[in-house]
Amino acid sequence: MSDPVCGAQQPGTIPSPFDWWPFVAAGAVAAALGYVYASGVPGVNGILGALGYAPLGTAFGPAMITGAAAGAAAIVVLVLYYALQPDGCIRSLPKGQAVCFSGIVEEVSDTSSTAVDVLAPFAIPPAGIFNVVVKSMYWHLVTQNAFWVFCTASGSAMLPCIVKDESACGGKIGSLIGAGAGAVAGIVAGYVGAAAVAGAVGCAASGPFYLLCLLLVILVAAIVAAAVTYAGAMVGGWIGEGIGSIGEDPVGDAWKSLERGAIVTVQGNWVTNSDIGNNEIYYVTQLGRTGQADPRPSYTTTDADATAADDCPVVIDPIR
Amino acid sequence: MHSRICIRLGLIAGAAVGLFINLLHTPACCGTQAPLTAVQTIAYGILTALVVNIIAAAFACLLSRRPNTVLITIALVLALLAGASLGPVAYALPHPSVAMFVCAILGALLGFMLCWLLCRERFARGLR
Repeated sequence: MSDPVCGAQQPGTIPSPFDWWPFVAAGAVAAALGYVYASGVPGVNGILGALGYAPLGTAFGPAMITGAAAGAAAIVVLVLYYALQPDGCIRSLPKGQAVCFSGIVEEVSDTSSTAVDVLAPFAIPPAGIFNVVVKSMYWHLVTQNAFWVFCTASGSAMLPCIVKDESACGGKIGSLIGAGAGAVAGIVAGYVGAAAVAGAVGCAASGPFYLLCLLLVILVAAIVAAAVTYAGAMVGGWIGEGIGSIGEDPVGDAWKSLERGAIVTVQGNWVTNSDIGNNEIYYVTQLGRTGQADPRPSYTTTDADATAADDCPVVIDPIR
Repeated sequence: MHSRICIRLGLIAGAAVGLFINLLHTPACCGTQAPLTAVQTIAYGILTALVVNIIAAAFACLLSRRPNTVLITIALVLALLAGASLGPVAYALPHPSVAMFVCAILGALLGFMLCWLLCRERFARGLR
């Protein structure tokens, strides 16, 4: 087999399906808000009534509760978007093939982010990515059906391997539950906050600035509801993260000590990246370290071929 | 810049303008209120879109690996475009949910067109 060509493999762009979900989400939220505008939010109407408010019985009422519901819905949709990513948590991973290969680690990149872990536990990224200069017998894993091939500075083909953050799934499920609970509290808080602002500003149901005041009140209702819903998602996500990080994580442990030049045997789900078009391992299911190569500015396929035989259970033939 | 982020920011701005501006229809109790003028709908639309898109851009900066300056610039430009063009449309439509959905689609279209204008050469390469 000849050396893989680096970079673009075929003309044209990567075929990607139409990004339909934002339109479906907008339609669903619009329909729900239409109901809220006419009838309020079941359950929340009673809570507001118990607090002494008449959500649909005042001039600003329907607009305020609709604004609050819109703010809460925006956060729920945001959390749902991340929770429903095909990462093996709620939705299964992209359909790939279980493969095993070996080579030398060229690059190690930590993709985790403390800011995201704390502020957006529903969107925790993978723990990290490492690029492996594969042995020539595994070149087909890099090139087959790929639109793009990553190479080292010396032109040797690499296969990116993505390591899952085991606490991510707990964070997503926790955030979903937290956002659900937070949405109810958020709509109530948004309505009450907006009513307080309307009273403080002195918005009357007439006067020259009536509609500007109404707009400000609606925005306040939406922002307060979104903030409370988001707080619920964060707290739920932190709890989920804590639960998700309990237990053994052999791949994560091996990943933490991985460094450039490590000779590794990797097993995982082999897929084509839908954004860039390169083949990759998403996620790594087993990571075995069998040695350490001498330091080099850039490793080559020759270096990888010179390493000892790997411990892959079966040599995988190129797929036809 | 991938067109997807422009479409999403446009859709968010459009949906917000559609819903919030349409909610400004004078309630039945206050029929003596004069309706908004076109200039007012544009000004209120821009205000709404700016508030919403600044928050959306802050999220995008936190969660995306794209350059923050580019994201914020696109969010602000789209807020101005969506607010100015969709404010009067939102106010003219009959119901908040209809206005939200229609303006969301129009906002997404604005976002796509903005990215297309900014990245014409890249789009052309893709079409070849």
